[in-house]
Amino acid sequence: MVQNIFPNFNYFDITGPRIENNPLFQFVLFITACTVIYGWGYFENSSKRNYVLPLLILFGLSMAGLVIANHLLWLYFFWECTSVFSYLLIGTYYEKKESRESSLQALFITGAGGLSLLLGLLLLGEHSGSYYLSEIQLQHFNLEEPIWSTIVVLLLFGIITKSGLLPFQGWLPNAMVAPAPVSGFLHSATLVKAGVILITFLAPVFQEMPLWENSILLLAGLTAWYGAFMALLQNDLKKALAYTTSATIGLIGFASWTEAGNLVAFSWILAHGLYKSASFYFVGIIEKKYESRNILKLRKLFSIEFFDKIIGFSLFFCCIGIPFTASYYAKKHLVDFYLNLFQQNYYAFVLCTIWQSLMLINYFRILVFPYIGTRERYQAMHESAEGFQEKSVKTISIWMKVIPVVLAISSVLSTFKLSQRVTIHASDVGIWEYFTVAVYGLFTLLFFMFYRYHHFVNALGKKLYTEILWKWCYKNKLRMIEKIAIMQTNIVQNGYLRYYLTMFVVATILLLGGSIYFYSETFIRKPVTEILIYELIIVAMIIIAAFMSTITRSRMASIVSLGAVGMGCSVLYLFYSAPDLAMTQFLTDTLIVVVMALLFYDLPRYSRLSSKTDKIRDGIIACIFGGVISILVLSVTDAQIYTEVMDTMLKKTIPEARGHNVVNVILADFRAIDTLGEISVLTTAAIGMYGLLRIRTKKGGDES
Amino acid sequence: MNIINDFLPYLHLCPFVFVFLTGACILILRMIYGNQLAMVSYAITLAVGFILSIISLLFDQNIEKDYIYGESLLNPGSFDKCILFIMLFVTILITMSSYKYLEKKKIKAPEFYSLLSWATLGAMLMVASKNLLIIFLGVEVLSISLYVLTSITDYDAKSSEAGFKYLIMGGLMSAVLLYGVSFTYGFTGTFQLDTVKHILVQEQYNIYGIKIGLIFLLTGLLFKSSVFPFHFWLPDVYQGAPMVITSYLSTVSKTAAMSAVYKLLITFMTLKDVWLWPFVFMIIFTMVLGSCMAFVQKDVKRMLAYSSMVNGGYMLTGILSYVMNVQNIDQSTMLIFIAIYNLGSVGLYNVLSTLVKEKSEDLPYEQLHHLKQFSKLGWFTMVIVMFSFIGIPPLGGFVGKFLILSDAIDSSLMPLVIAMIISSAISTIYYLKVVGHISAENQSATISNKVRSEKTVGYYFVNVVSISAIVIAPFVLKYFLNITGK
Repeated sequence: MVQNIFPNFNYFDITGPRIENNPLFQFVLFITACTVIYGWGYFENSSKRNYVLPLLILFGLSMAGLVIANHLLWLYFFWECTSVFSYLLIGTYYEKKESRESSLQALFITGAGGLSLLLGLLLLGEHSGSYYLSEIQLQHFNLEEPIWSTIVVLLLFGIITKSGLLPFQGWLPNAMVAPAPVSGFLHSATLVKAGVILITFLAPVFQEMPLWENSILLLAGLTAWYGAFMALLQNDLKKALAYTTSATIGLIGFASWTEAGNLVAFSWILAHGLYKSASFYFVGIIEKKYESRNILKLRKLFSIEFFDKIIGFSLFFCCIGIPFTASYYAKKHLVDFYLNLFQQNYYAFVLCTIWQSLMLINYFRILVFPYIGTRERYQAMHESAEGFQEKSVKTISIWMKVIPVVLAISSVLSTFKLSQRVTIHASDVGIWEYFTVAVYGLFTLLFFMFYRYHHFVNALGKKLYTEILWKWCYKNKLRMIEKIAIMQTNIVQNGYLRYYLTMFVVATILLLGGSIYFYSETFIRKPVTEILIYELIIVAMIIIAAFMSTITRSRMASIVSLGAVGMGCSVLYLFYSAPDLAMTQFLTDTLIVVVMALLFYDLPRYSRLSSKTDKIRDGIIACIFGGVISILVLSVTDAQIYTEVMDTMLKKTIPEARGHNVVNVILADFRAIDTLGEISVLTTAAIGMYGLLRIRTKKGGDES
Repeated sequence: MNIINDFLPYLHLCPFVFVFLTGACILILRMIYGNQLAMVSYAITLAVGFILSIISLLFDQNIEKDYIYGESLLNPGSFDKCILFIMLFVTILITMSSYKYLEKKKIKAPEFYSLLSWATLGAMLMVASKNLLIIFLGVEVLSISLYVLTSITDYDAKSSEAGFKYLIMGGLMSAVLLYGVSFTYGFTGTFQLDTVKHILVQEQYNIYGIKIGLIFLLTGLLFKSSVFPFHFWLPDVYQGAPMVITSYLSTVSKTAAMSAVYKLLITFMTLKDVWLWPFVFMIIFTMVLGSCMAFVQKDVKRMLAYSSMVNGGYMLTGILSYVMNVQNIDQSTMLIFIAIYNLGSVGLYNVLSTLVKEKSEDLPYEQLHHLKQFSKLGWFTMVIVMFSFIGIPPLGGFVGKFLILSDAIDSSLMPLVIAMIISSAISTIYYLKVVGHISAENQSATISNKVRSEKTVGYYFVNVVSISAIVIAPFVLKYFLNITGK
């Protein structure tokens, strides 16, 4: 695969044909410029200016790269860049814990999605035969093969995490801890659109696939409704805006899954990008000026400046789509598209109307409601125990005031571009008119209902958000993962050497037992010679000694019984005519007993560290291990052993070395130099041991 | 000229001889001058020895040889040479970053450096040989040196505990490995892995015994490469060992073990049905459980132990994908991943070694605070390395992971791919935690910069090398894709 990608991979051929006449590219650059100017004003007299503005520019560039990237790897690269810069930007106020948590959440979720996307893109590239988006879009594939479903699932996972569609929308409202320029730029205009933009890129390939269509329609539709309702329950201006963003992205996703919906998707991306970022910047102004972004608190303030009211009103009109703003045309395209899609199904039309009305109320709540009306203010003045007083209004930079106005104006101006296509796609003007009237009517109705009960709604929203969404859906899940990890760590890695050794033994048992079970051809062969009575006695002695060494309380007795095991073995070797081996075993065992006795002399007494159940468990494991090794040895003795060396040695021994004991001849004649080496190593070891013992006696002497 | 001609057959042994002699030289210097000789001179001796070794490694390719002494025992191929090069280079970097640390910890330099060079000799033997006995010898030389090095600070109980645990478990697993070697020899009559492979292809001997031998061999080597369920020694040893040795364990020692596992798998490819599925499961558990356990650690060194375990899982994924699909996949993938991982780790531990206290090797997260004031370069290195470990493009870590992922897809090892993705996602959290802590500027933090050791030329050099390796990697990738000349 690497060979497929890299030899044709030109690092500087990012865009391919996708840069020509790409409205998204121009849009991203325009918004970037606006945001940087706004941020310049927003961070006036703040040390964060040098942190945020470069990152904003870098983010803008990577987003611009994302919308024009043609090679799938470049696409992925820019995709991840946006995630990283988003992480850094959400954490602008990294001194605050909330900020750090939210940025981590965002990066965790989008990062996981990014990996899935990478895999999806790699598989897409491999199976379509090209890594260039422009070439992939022109091809037709047999989408019934299962691999395409895998690809779609992987890609969609990446997309829904990035765009904050259900069920991964949680990070988007929390990302609102970032300052207003960041929220306006990243979390409404550009970053969260990345997912739907990718959907539109891939729509020509997958649009005939039921999995693609159904999952996008389901998730996007749910998100649209969810966002619209949740926004209604928020008191925080920015969180409410975030939920409306989420809702709108759901709507765009709803349209973008098919090539026919591309126009709708693009016009919505542009229109929504303009008015939503302007709204965020407006909220930023409010926050700076009045030091609050809580709707209820703002309502109790007296001195809302006239300028703010005007901006709020005009942005409200941009949002709801009065004629000759960008969103007017976007909505028009949408209605046309829906009617084509659902073949004049008026249920869809009604649903769409209700949704639009909900959104209208949301925008009203955010952009108009806090700054108008007198009733609550009088109440606050006369009977307030909380004592809301006149706050001095902070002055803000002129750049902050300019940008929302510029965006609102460009929202109107951009209609020249959008309205050009209206004549091509307009099908039924009458419906559109009805739609508008219906939306406004419903809006008025719902608004009065809301106005009456808004305290109740607010309380409900707060509860829902803090208790259920943040704590239950994210925090508790994360804590659950942590708990599982801790539990598993305590089980698997508890720090006791004896436990680790047990685990090694168990793992070896499993591996060996498995391979014996599966691959052993014959089980146990019959003994070649008769078993004699004294052999049996010796074996019984060995077993008894081994058993003794485990149960005895005395350390010396335990060592001595181990020695007895070794001696028994050497006697057995002797029976089977291997005197040299018996000698070696005898020597080693004696040495070990002596050294162990010396070593254990100074150690403290036995202490009881394991309970009875532990002992039984260990005993069982030890028996099984011994059993497995015995079976292994018995089953192996039956297998054919490589005999070439044996035969040559047997042939050579008498003519070349004139000796009858093959082993001795090998040791003392054929391999004499090796033996010399062995002897010198042993001698060195013995000298070393002598040195160690001397140190010990010296110390002992000092003490006495 | 005759002398040179006589010398030619031995030329390929030069790298090993140089490394061995370096260790001996340091001990002799110690005998003559005692401890008065500054630590720097020991470090320089070691670095010079390794540089000579590297040079001889690079030069011996172009000489035509009719007869090579001990060809069957030590004959590294081009892939092995690349690995040797990486290992030697990393050891030089570790040496450069170590001497101030040793001064702070009052570790005796001659002992330390001579053991370090012999440990490297063991690791080189593991990489360079295709003879089971030499590989076993390498494992033992490496391990025994490391047992001592791990517990070299005699005043630190944790360090001694770590050394002891490592000794006991390592001893057990060495026995298992040796048992495997003897099984393999008993049923094939050879220690040469090439011959074993030949025998397996022809199926002229009893396969069952070889299978059992393989199980033992794999068990022994997987312990060295700390694969689940043989990873238990890892966190305790990493935490207890001096920081420089932790660095060495997670780079050179790990690379050597991986190389040995790779040779084993290539040899026993025809017995795929015996080891493949257990092995795949082990790797999956290594990656997923490893990252879960790293997630809950409160000590940076323990966390890095698990992180190194997880990265080992990625390496094994790369190795397995290559072994499964030798025709279509290039070895350089593994090389690139290993090189980037090693260089990143060295930079990371280099910074951390300036942060530990004099008497204790523990490194809780809070001890990372204020790093930015202490050393801007160190902070930057940590951030870059952590981002690279997370796998954020275009850093080197991303390139490595990407290459391994695409290889694994090519070899249709989908379970491994999915496990790798899950573990990468989890690993994001704990790497970012480190980034958060090194950036924190908490006024109430009690750790002052006074306990932190001085910054030396070596410190700056290692950091710069590490950063540049990670940042430049994707841009020079093209030239390394066929480095082994396959």
